Amino acid sequence: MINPVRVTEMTGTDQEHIEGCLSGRPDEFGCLVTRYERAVFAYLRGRLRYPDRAQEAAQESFVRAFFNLAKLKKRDSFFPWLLGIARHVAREIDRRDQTDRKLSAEYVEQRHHLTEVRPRSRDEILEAAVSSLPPRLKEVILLRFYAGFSCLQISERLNLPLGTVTKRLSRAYARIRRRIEK
Amino acid sequence: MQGHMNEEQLTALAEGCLADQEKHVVEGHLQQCEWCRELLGRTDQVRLRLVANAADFDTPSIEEPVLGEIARRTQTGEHRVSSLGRWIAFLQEAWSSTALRAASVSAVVVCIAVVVGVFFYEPSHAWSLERSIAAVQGKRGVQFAGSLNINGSRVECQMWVRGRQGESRMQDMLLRAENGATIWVSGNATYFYLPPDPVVYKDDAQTAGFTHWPGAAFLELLKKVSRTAEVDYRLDLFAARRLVVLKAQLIDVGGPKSFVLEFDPNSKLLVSLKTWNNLDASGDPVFQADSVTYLDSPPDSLFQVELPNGVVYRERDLTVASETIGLLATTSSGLSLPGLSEAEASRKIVEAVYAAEINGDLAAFKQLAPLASLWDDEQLRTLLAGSDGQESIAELIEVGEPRVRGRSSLGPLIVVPAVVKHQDGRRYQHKLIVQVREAGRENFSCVVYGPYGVPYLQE
Repeated sequence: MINPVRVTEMTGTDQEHIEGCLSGRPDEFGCLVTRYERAVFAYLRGRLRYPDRAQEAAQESFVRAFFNLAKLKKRDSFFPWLLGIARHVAREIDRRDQTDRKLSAEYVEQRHHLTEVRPRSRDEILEAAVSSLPPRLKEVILLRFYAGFSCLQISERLNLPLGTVTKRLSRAYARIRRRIEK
Repeated sequence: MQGHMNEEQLTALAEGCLADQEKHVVEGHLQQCEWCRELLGRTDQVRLRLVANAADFDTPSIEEPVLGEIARRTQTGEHRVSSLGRWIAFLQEAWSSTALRAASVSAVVVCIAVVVGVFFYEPSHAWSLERSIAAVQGKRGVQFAGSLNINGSRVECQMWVRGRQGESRMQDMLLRAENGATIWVSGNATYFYLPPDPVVYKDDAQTAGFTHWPGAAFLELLKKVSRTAEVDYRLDLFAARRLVVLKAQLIDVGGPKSFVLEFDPNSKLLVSLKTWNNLDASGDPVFQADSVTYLDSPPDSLFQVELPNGVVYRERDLTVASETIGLLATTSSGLSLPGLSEAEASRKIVEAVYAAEINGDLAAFKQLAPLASLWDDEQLRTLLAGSDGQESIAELIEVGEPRVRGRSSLGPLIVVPAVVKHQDGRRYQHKLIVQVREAGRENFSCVVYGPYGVPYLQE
């Protein structure tokens, strides 16, 4: 099957880029952004629903990740760690939105209609299904389809046996299918 | 080949991850097995939908804005908070090295003190609980997102609490955990549903959530009745912000409790909360809210609960905190009423404890309800009358029928309802728990354990 997602530039491992950043070469962080931005954005769009919120959250997630790189003990776990940051940022944005508005569903809808038009072509059911997956299953789906990694590349990036990657993908498909068929 | 392929094999085939030999076997099976072909087809539909959705993405790269923002924060110094984290991480690494430990000990202490001093010395952000109290005036609801300790495991949950209109007491509460557990307060009852057990356990009082919804009155009360309340500061490196930390401990009828509440010094709002069932905040918190959102006026629909068909309702047995048994058993406390039944004695002691409260006789009150001796007189007055004095009792209207609702190691636990009039003129239904001691003997005695749930306004 041809994956239409542009193939992510795979030069250099995550560890190498992180070491580069910590050694005073912050531009190397750009490689990590390019590598994972679509996956993070896909996760946040499912979580926050609105593209402008997702974009804002994705940007903030990467910036925070950069300033906290030294705290990342397992350098080969950058993506799961980044998703954790994105989850926190999404929660904060949710909270901020709720705090500065009147609590009424109509108001929220009204507000978002004023600020943006949501594209009709989006598969929101699918995005919500992906967003609701357990973290380990979500990681492989995001990397496979939104970051454009092959199963072999995922196994290398996440330091997992290839069989584990296909097993997780299989479980993720089953969960998504059940959710969609509901 | 016998049987069917599993989904994992089919996924591996679809992803091109099977070795040639296994691929040959699986493809051979698929030619003969309609069931597996259908399963593969359904899996492919999901994959196609994912591919189509990913292709639909048309977002500009954020690489440039991210690097720009990093440069900006570095220049303006906003990243210092994170740098502090890195600095501390470095110090921790240094500390773990035996060779460095002795040499660096004084330097570490000095450096941390200096760094902390620089970051926290901002007098314009002086914080006080009063400011937080003012910040939540006018809000009537609050949403917590966090986790709950259920039988030693952490379960993510969300909880919504709504205050009564114009009052500090809680009106509704709904807690939903990711494992399906649901706890809610509706009217003067509390319900506990823990699937897969198809039973909803009911307390006929408000026994979950907050005695006062976490608005201004709750904070005011916390300030007044806490055994200790200390204010500290913490850097939330993750969110790149400074937080004010309030640590408080108290003992209530549910036993010892400690709280850690964190406030955003800018908005003055509560942003996180942890509670423990001990006084030193040790171990895993029983409840932890990582996110707290205040709401102006939560709608009724937020508190509606739908249950699966076939669920049955049962009354929940009453228990008391084991830490309180020692105080309840003290011989100098309680009443012995020879010749009366346990139910009659329970009514009498309830009448006596209300008389003590109305007359302001706190010594008598503590003798009848020994757990009250955990507070000093001022704290006890606040607990009884509310932070604004409006909840103090002016008159005992009637005492209802006692009911045995459980047992402790000392004997039966009897709930006695009563209707009282508060100073503000409103009538409330109270329920008190009476502990019968040495039941079955002629010389049994009883003490008041404490309230069963919170006072409930009679419309």
